[in-house]
Amino acid sequence: MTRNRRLSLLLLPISLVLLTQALPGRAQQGTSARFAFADTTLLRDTLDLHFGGLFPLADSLQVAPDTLRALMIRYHLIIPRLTLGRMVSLADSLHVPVDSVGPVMDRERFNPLNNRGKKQKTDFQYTSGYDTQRTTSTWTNGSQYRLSRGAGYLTNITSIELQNITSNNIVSQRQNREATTEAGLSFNRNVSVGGRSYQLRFYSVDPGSPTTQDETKNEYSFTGRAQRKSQLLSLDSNIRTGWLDDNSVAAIKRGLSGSADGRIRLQGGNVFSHDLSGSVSGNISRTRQPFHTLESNTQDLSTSLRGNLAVLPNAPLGLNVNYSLRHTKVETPVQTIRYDTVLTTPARIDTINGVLINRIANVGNSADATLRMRKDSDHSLQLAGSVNSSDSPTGTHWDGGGKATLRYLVSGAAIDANYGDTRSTSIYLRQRGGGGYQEHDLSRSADGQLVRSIGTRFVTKLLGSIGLDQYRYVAQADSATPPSPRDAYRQQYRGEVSYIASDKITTGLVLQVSLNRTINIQAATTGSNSDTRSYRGEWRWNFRMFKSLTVTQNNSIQADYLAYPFAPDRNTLALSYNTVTSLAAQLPGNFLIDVQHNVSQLPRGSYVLQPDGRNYLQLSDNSQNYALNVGARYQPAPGLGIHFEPHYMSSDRSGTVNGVQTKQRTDKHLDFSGGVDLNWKVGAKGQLTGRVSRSYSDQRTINYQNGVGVLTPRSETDFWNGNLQLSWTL
Amino acid sequence: MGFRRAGLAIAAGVLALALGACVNPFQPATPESPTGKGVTENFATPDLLLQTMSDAISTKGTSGRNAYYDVLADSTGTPGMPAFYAFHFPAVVDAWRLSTQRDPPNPWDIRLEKLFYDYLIGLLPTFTYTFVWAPDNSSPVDQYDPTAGTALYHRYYELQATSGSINKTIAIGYADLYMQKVNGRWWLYRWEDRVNPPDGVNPTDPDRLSMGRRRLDSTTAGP
Repeated sequence: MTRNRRLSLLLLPISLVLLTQALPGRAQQGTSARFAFADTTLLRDTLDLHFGGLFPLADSLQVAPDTLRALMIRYHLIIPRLTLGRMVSLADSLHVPVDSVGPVMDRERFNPLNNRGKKQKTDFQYTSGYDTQRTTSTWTNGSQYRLSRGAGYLTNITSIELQNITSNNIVSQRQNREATTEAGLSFNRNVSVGGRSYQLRFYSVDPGSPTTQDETKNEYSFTGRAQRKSQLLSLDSNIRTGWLDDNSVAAIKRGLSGSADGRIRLQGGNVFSHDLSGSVSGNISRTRQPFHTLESNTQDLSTSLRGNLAVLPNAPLGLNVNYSLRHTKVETPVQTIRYDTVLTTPARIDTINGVLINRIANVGNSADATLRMRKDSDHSLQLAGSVNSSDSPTGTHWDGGGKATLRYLVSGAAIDANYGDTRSTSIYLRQRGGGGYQEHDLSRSADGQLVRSIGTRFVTKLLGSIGLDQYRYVAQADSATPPSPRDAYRQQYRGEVSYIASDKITTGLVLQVSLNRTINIQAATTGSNSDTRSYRGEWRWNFRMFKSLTVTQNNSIQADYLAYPFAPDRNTLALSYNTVTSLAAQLPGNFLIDVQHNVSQLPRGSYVLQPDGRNYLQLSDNSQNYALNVGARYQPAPGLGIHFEPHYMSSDRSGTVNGVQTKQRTDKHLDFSGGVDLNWKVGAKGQLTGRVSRSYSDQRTINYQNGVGVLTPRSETDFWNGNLQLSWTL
Repeated sequence: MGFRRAGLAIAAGVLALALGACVNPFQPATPESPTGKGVTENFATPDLLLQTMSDAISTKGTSGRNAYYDVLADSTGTPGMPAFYAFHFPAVVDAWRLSTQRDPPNPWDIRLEKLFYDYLIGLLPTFTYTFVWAPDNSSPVDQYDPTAGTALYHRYYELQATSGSINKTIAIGYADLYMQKVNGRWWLYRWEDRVNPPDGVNPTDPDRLSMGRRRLDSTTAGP
């Protein structure tokens, strides 16, 4: 069968769908053609949250929409009445990326310089949580205490985590206890000094390990903070220096430790801004192994420097540069050795004990620059370049590349185009029989997308992409056997049409064609080269039947032709027919229910040469899968929810033996999970939140031998799981 | 309008360069004619991917190594491709840290996994390897969603090395294997390793180690 005839088979059901003119539906739509396919229906219906402008904003910030949504939900707990716009405003005013708003605000809460001048302030928060799963249970306790009286301040952060891991009735324990206490004086709004104490107690035991993994660490240090803020320059720095006493299974270290970090921001109006942050931390210690007495000098050091330069950030032509330098070095004594010197006159043996120091160093440097030409959000061109390098005990890595991104709206059509080219070199050091070679990698890709509305009811989208990865190897050691050179090639075309009948009904069609080639180059390996040609057709519709009832269905058919250019007798075809039907309903009395039914059939076969000299498809196996998933949630009272989630799956698999299709295996599987969700106020200042569920799973399998079914023993699991968290604020 | 003209001019220039260039920048290399059959790489289903992985370990040599590399998801090239990471059993990490007095490499990425393959097949160079997967009876239910193109398989594994009458197990344990379908084929992007409980973290037979422990051992420096 020729490729065109195979394709025509796939087009048949799609044509039928077009002829039937199925009922269309509509979800929340963006305003620009670029976001015509963006859909926030799920968020609106299940969370009752509104994320108006989520997609354009995420696009503008160059973060994934689900990341922005997750950040907003997370910060919503810290910052009440948070909206997307307010979160972006906070990021702008703090001069940090949007994903750093929460950590920065949390850090500033404990900055004594921000609390100076307040006559009297006391904050206390206690949190306790218990999380239990099938094999793991974790109990956490934490407290945060802040006190300020005029110039004086005292803070304490304590956390305790106790974890049990069960495997085949063997329980492993991991316990971690940490406390950081700091007290001091703020001389003014710019300078403070104090003392800090840090205690760590770690305990880990596993019945399979010969000993426990205890660690006891104490640090006592002086601290200092300074900051200066003006319209042009803002600067803040922290210094800590003191005594370290670390007793772990790897080493016992005692000595001086210290750290310093600082941030500088230079703002030149709307012309430029430069953020620079750096940190240095380390220790100079006398160190020994726990089971040896000989001590040696060790030094641990960690440095990092990060910077960002933005030139003309709001102008049509702008430049953004990021750079980062990172270096860490850890020294550990690994072995005590003994040198004996035999002297003859007079006869004696001099013994000198020595220690080998294991030094592990990691280095990572990176820089990137982006030149941005922008008229508005729909007309822009970005040219970016980046360089990265890293050095670790296993080898080194370097990569550099460039990328061009064009966005253009012309005659109502939104055009996106990208081109990227990256080259990298990795050196794998010769270790334990492996490595000892260089890997040179070239990665090149281009893609383009056009989205256009036709009239008021049709939206079309065309997409094409192409990519090539090349791997080449050079041996660096005589004994090294590097991998053989190879290429990976891919191309894809996709067309999508969406028809919007009304605000209740939407339907859409997708046709996608792709080719992926795995190309080994050397003769010894080319036998496994393969080309995968995939053809996919998809029809989906969405119908909001009533105000609180939405039905969605997605039908797809896909064919994957796997061809071996040098071994055509191994060519195969895998087909996939799939239908997913979803029903989302909001019933009176705060009752939500989602039902999803999934049907799939997956026939697969290979091409067999027949007497007429042509290859014909012969099915080798076929799977039929059915799944029914239900999610029901009832909220009888504020702060109390009841959930009920059964899942049923059935699978039948048949194979072909001597040309006859016979049943091979049947699986039936039931999952059930039900429980309560809590969000209760405890007293005036406490909150109890969490979920407690009971999960049950059951499976039966029938294996067929010569057509006779053999029932395997029932497989069953039943356990409690969930988490509860109590927080209390003074 | 000036910006629009400039944009169109740039787009036209890029198109002219692309069409007029003498060399197709996306032209892959021409492979040599094969001299051997090699490992049959088939990633059409999660089961076939695991079979290819098994064959790659059992078949030592360049063909096996290439097949092993092709199993692993590499996020540096294809858009939408997840990155491969292996996670070790926590007690194994504790025991390895104790015995070597080193912190293990973290994360265990595709770069370390490629080196690990060479270490694994070089453990007993004169032995024949047989790597087998079997169902995990403690977690018999696999998750497979052909629509989303995701799969999570729970498997028991065992690697046997044979030379004449000598037969020994050199890797044994359980793995939670996360796979994803991208560009018409399946990729392995996460291996969560667990020890075989009867053998434990420190087995009586020192050869019967988990793959996670073997991975960590492969980083111990040495020529």
